[in-house]
Amino acid sequence: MPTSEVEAWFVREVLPLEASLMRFLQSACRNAQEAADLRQDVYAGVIAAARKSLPDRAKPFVFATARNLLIDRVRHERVISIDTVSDLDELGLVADEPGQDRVLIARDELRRLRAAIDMLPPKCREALVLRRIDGLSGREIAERMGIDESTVSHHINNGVRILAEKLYAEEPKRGKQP
Amino acid sequence: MSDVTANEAIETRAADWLVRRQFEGWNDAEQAKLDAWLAESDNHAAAYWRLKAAFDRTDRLAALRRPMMDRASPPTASRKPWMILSAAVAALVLLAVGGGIAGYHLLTPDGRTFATPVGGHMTVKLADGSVIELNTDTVLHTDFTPDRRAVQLVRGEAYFQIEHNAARPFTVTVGGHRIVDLGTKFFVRASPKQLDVALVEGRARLESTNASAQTRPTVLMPGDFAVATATSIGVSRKAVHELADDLAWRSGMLVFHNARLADAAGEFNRYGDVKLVISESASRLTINGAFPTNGAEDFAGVAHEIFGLHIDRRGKDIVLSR
Repeated sequence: MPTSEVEAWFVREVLPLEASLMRFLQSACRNAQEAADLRQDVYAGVIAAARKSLPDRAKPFVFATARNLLIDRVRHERVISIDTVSDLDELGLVADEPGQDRVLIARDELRRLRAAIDMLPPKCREALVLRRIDGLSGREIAERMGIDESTVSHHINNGVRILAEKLYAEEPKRGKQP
Repeated sequence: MSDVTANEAIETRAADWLVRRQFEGWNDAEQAKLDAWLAESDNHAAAYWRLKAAFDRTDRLAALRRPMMDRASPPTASRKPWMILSAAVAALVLLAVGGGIAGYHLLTPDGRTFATPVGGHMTVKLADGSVIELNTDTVLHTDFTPDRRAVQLVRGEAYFQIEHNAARPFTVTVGGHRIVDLGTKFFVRASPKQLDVALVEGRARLESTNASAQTRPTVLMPGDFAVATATSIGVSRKAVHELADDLAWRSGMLVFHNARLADAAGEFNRYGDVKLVISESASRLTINGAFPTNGAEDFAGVAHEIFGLHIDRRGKDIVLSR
């Protein structure tokens, strides 16, 4: 698979599953940080497989990968209770509704973006907004905010990561609304 | 199995790439470094793609960005960016609430004239299974016989989805040009000086009806955008999403990417009685966004809010100036 196709598939099919994937992982992990760490490994595994060929259906594949990783962790680190792992099938492998329209309603998407941006720390938010909405350069943002450029980068770096957490934490709405 | 700090470090690094790509000094060498880093590990790709997809989504908020020329003098109030953000949200919400002008279906006998008024939108289902959608202010004749299907676009713009039948060719004539369907979806826009044809699917041939014309028949492939004048046919390529934007009128929308205000106003003016007039001083401001085709008033309001333009009503004209 060409990398661009894998990326497009990953963004289109896998990332929208993040909210349910995180619920799944958190149910098996001690803390949120560990779940986020596992998520990263799940994604890497999914991408490695997708490079060979794109799975027909993303959801069962992502959750199977997650389950296998959890079992690995149990074996190697003994950090997760075996009971939890045995429950995973029913949690994760509920059938997906394939082919459903994933077009987000513009209003919903904007509300989501707005909410996510509102939750950012003030400096991160300001830097990100100046960059994305106002289209200012790093130097211009630095001047405007009265900080140096490396601090601007730092704020945006943080902002992007927090934004991703917030955006993917919510289940995307599917289909069209009246 | 990587440990927690390793994955966190990768994410921070991925965000760092994303930020650096945004700013000055990004060049091919930097891009090559990023590509190499992404190729190094699927963990890198996963972190970067995930953050990039989230970051890209904020593009929607940039729908109404301040124009380049204004950047030298940033707004003084620190709250200005938020005001801009709110306005961007307002403009895009229109996309959701503005349903556009309802199209209506007509089942018709062949061989007649179809017309839409300014602001109109009509879908015609022909007996052969082909579908023609007429945009605003459009007139079109059909003349069908058992061995040919001839359509003449007198003026305006239409989108064609043709049931191909080699034994009964489908042709669209516009001014001095003819489009011969070879199994196709395409749209045609006639304006006084030129003819635009964009091919969405299939193939079509564009040729001059004038036997002595200098131009040769041109076969159009998907993504081809042809501009024909009396003496020339030029073909360029458009990306799928650009064609989709060109066809947004089918769902009652106008989509602009870095469009000059004057050009955007010209588009609105095709659809409504209200005429937007952009003064010379404001014509070079650029705008991004999606609006209902009947949203000229909203557009003026947004331009007022974003660029601080003055709105001056003169009869049915709305004059925007700095």
